[in-house]
Amino acid sequence: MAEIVGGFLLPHDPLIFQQAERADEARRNRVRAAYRRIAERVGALRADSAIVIGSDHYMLFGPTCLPQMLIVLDEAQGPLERLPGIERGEIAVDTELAAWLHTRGRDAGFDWAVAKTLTVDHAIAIPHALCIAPNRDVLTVPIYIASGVEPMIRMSRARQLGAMIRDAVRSWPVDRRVVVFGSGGMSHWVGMAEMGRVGEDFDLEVLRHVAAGDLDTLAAYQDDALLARGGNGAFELRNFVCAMAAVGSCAGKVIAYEPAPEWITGLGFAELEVR
Amino acid sequence: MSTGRLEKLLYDLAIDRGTKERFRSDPAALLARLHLTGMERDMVLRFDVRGLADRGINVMLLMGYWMELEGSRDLRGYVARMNQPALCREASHG
Repeated sequence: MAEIVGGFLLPHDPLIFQQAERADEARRNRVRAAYRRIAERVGALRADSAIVIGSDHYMLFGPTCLPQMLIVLDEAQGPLERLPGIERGEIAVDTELAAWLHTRGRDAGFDWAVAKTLTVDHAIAIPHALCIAPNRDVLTVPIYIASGVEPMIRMSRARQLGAMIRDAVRSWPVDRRVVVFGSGGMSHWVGMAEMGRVGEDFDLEVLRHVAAGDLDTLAAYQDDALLARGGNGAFELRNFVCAMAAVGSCAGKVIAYEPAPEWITGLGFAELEVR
Repeated sequence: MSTGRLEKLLYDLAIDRGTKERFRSDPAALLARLHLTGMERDMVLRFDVRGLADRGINVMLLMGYWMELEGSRDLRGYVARMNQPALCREASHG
């Protein structure tokens, strides 16, 4: 049977690439090292497939159709936008796993939107390029949940989706080792008047809950508190919650944290170790 | 004000090359073809991102449209404008 062997929480801040020079060399090196560390861990876990849970930023999906949860079934390319150092290219999709998640999800009452093909944005492309692609032959399943644009998926639903993903993977009668990525956050006031502010206290509090594997507390954050303490970018905590629910009982190991106002974001990296 | 109509316009301005080119060459002509109020047209033409945000327009769309079309392509300029009062006022449009 397939199994979930680990998970990772990591940022997808495009400014790390688009405005790299705004941070000093030491910070750039620490951030690169954190992504590299995750890539190494994906290899060490002998992962066959990676499910990446990200958020659209009103780039892929427009006002005419805003999905709550979307899975890519057949093929993906990316990144959509220019990210210096990351070439646009094909992302090898695990079509069998995607089809299984789609079917099992529908059976369980999760009415996925689907993309048979999609050019993904930085939310999927950055984890893929830096952490998945360095491990040859690891396939990807891109999933988008509405954690950036209203109407957003409810935190409770993101958690339920993660739990469904966990059940589906574990019921898949295929010998496959799967890791799950929660791509996003932490604090950032993207597009808001406060853009550039970083809520370090909030970020460190979230990482403490991640380290404790305290999904209940993380899933209990209300949107008004997230907005006040972490900005609109903190709504992406849903991606972390979904990924943690998919991994199940886990202890988080913080890999790095960088409060980076020059890149307008608190950057948190953690591994979710299966208990 | 139609939030949906304005967000569709700003989305197209941020991602669609043809719409961007039409805006760059003759913004008033592009906007005249849309069903916008005079105030809505003014806000878009003057890059009144503060005023648009105050009316519920998604700030990620506003940032994208600013970076693509405002000219400076400067996030600091965008933040500065977001921290100023709205440029367009209802009273001046009756």
